[in-house]
Amino acid sequence: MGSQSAGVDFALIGHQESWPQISRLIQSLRNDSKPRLSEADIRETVPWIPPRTVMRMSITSHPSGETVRGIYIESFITPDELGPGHFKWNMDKINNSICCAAREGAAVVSLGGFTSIVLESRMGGGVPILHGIPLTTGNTLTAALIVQGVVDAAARVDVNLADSKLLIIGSTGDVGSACARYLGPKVGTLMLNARGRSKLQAQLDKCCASGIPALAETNLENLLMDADIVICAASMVAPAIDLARCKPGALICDAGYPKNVCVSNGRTQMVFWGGLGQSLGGWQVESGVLDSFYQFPERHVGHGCLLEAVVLAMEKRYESYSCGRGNIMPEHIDEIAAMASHHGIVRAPFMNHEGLWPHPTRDIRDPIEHSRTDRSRVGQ
Amino acid sequence: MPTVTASTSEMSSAVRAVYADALSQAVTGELVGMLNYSSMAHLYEDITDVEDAIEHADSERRHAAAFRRAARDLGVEIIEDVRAPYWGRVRDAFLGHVERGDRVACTVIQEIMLESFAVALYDAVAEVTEGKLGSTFGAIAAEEEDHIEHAIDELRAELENDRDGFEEKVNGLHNEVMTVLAEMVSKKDIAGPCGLCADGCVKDALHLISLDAPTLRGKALNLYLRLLDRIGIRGEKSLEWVANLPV
Repeated sequence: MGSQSAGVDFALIGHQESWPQISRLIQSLRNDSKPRLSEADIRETVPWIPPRTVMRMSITSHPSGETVRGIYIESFITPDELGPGHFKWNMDKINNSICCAAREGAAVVSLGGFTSIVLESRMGGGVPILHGIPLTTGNTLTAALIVQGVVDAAARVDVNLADSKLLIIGSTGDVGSACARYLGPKVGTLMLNARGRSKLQAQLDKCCASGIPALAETNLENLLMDADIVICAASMVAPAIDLARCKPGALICDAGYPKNVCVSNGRTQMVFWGGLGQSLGGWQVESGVLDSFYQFPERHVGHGCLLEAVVLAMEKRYESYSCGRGNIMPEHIDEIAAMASHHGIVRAPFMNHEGLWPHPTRDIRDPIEHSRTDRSRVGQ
Repeated sequence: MPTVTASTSEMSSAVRAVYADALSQAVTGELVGMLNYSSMAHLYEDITDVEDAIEHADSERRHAAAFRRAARDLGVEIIEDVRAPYWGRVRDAFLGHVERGDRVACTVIQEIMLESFAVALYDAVAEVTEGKLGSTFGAIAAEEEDHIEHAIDELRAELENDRDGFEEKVNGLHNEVMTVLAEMVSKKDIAGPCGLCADGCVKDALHLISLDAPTLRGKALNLYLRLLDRIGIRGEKSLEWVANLPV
């Protein structure tokens, strides 16, 4: 194993959710004098690239001003490889990504998006420490940012949470089940949806035993039109949830990676990307690579699953904070949210594919105003 | 993985022609390796190092001889030309570093760049080829890997001595040599024909032996990047280098 620079405080392992994102990443590395590569050329090359560090960064805690140093490791798991037919290939890439973090001397590692399968799945063994490094799925902070987003967005658009019907798609997953446990007691009716019937039934039974009004269906179509609020947290290889099948005016939190919701024009639903956080202290990146694929309408916005390792590094808690599936309890969500907030890592402003949500003084159903930022709750 | 048989009696003339072109590349590449190691022998003062270089040159010669025998067994004519367009450029680049007495540059070119391409391509052919021909490619790939191992420790020590300087040097070598190799295995002949294919470009016929040019290129770049990782070159550097290669 080759040696690398002195150890870093955290490593973030991830993958891109679309080919256009991958193309932008690769193009950003090419000299201006070189011709642009076609997406077809990139599709033929990228799957062969071994996982590697693609950028180094430092993130500043707010308000303390202390910084932690870290790296982003791209696993180069492509969108075409997210299906079950590539399991071994992907496990190799994830293990090699973790080796890369070990070479860099990372103190804690977040496994973003699909790569968390190592910690979530039985097949991966759910080993929380590999190569001597604590690994975390980052799912607790993701769930914390989702539930904060849902609570805040509901208040913003005058949806009474206590009377609402909340649908969680992917409810038996690690993130989905965490959201269900947290929000279940706070909503009028909890609607659960997942592909696996037995797990879904077990989840429903638990809710009922806890006195939470709940119902469950494996058939999503039977639930979509009835839900006031939808959290999309399913593992999907590509967006598949059609907004036309959702209740008009519903609040939709798309927390999938890749995203779950098919975007469309003329929608009436209010969509926001859930599970995103913003670093109020900001970050510095040693190259422009991040801007090529991390394109949000606000600065210093990142996925909760990745930011969890940053928070743990800032807290000097080098541990496998999120591990396994179904272990995230409401108290964990509150704890990670408090730790994150302590370092100025807060829920990102509401945004979606069209940009930022309009300013709170405007009607959310008005056309999106890109230049203004919703900071109504940030930092509170 | 689909396989084709290397039994000469069952092989169509079209498939035989693909193997002939592959063997022309293999023999020429081994001969270039033999010449490169021979040139490197002059750069060493320690007699053990000189012996190592000569031994490696002899190993490459034996590989070329084994591929020639494979061609003979297959009943095909091959083309051997160390001055063929792409190979000639690689050899010239190498000689430039020999003249400057730059042993590290020579090691990077021969034992990392050329060997990673050789191992990846031989392995790929071995995977889809049954019989003696397949085992010849497989066995030589394994021996070439030994050469690579030989280089890793030496180059890692160079990097640890001066990371920035070493990475800058490898970047320069990458632009000089890997660009030529990438042109050679790109889907189209970016800089013209390779001069080693008997008829049309073999890349258009690789499907006949269940291979294709992008897969060969991908496997070669994968091994190359993994070797650079093992030496300790920063991932973001090598990624940028590879992203700038011709496709």
